[in-house]
Amino acid sequence: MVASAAAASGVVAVARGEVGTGGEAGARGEGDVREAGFELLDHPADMGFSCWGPSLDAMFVEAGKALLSTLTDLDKVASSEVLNVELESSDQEGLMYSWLSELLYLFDGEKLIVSQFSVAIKSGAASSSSSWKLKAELQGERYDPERHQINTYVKAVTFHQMEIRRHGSRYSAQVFLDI
Amino acid sequence: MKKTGTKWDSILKKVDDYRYVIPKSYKDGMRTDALIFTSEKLLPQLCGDLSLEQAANVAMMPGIVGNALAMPDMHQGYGFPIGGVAAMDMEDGVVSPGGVGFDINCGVRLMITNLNRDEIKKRLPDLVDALYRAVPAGAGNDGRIRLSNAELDDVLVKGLKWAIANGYGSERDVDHAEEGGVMPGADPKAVSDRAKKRGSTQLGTLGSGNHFLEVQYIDEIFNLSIAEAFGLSRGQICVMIHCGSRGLGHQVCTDFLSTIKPVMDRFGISLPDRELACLPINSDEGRRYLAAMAAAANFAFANRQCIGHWVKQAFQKTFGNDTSVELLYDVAHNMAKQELHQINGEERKVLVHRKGATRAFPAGRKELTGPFRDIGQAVIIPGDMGRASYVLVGTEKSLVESFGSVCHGAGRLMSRTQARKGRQAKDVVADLAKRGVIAKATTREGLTEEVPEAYKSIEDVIDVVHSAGLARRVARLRPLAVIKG
Repeated sequence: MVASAAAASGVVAVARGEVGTGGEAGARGEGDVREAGFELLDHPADMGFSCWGPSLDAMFVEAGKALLSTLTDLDKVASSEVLNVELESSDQEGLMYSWLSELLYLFDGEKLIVSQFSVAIKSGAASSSSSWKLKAELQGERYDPERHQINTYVKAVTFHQMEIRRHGSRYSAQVFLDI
Repeated sequence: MKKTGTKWDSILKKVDDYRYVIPKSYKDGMRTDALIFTSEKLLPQLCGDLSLEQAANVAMMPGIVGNALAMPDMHQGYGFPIGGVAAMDMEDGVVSPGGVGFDINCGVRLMITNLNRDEIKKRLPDLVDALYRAVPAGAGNDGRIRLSNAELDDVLVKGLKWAIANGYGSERDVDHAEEGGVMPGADPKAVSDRAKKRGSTQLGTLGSGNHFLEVQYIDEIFNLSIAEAFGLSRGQICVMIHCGSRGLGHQVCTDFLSTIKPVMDRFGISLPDRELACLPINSDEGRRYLAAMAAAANFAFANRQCIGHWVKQAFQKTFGNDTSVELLYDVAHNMAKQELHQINGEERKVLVHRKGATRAFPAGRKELTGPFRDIGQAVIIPGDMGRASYVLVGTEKSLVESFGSVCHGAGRLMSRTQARKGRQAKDVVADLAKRGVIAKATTREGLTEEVPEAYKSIEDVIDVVHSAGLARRVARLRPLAVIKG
């Protein structure tokens, strides 16, 4: 499938080398040959990624893959466990933050590495404090130090220069991580 | 002022060789100036990232008292620049979780021994092995201490004192740690179950990234009387431990940042950077954050105390049971502290955020106990893993200018990707070996991303701190071995 091949190649994607830039890094979506994917971004102290997809749901999947690929090689992670999560937030960026923080918590708190994702996002009433809701089915495996090498320990997700952009029906985002 | 070829050439005002100001007229919303401690040499690096803009943004925060401040190791952070300091009024001011950092009470301690460099030379590889086995490090590696919910709550309230009560270190250590190793006002109920879950297996672990354990020797004494008072001498072997509150602290910050926006909207607080997200200190939410922050800080104090104890054991195992390994001082460099400061001739309580900055109090401050009340606070500043680290002593001047704050380290120069590029872990190990440093890390990136070249020169940074009068050099330490996650 295009998406998973892109995700696999995304792990070794070349960093952009742009320090602290905002806009352009997150603007992928138009003219990109891969329908969905992610790429690592440079940052003075830590690291980030940009990701994109044909829909908001697909883009959130790529964001999840980008984060977890930073942690470990996802192709070495089986899908032996299934978990459903529900999250909500007052805005899209908040939802992205909560989504990625959830995946990070599952790794560091529950020792579960998620390798497969299926995401559905709904937006609710604009005035509600939980306008955006995400439901996801996650598949993954318990962390096994013998088989899963941790590449980079991610301390936390940040809002630093976080951007979510819409290009027609396609979406892209940029997120930085505290290492 | 030397030109950097950036927009800052026309904005920054040079006060003297070590002080530059971003005036509050720079942009709308700035309530005060931003005072930058730096030098002509370091200035071009500052202008190359967003750190100066971030310092200007900090000056926009409600209730800020005095200037927004930045230390000479400043570099781009999240909201606050790393190396950022800002004091807030307790009634009108805000507390910013980003102004404390994800790694609450990331800090550093220096242990001093009764061994000297010549004595340990032959057995250094054995010592390094013993330390590597004694101290859990690296990502995904849990510690040896398992805590029940009740025990963890105890750690969160009692910090260093919990560790001492459980056999790690001794009572005298209380006088050798900032806050006595226990932040007041900690409330375990303000810490989420998630944070506790992460923390329950991570007490007594080094972590990874830029955290490390370093065996060092003192190669230069700059102030003999203070060095003697601290118990430092040339050639003396010391151990520096740099780590924080691990997953527990990271989760506390994450939890508050996840839900902060609606609260800020309710209070009508709007700032240019979402990472500057903040809560009124005088609000339920603000108080809750401070209580959770204090709890996470105590976890970090206990963490470093446990690791310090195992370091002592590793030394004794290698060199004999009468080897002395004692704590000189333990400092935080990501914290928000309630402190009394003189502001415009009046003593006021303010909340001082230090984000990648270290407290540096002079003699006489009531917060200092034990020998430090008369000498002044020991300030521990780690450099990078190839070069040097410093011990300084706090001064009166820092109280006047920076709320008793100085830098926390060398400050990164290169991104992790740039540092890794073209570098192999084995080359880094070989390179360090040429400088006489044994390096051991649990991951390749632990070495390649942390190469000395990725950091500013610690000498340049300390030069600013000393020359600006914020703290005085006491001793310089050089690495002999570094262990990283």
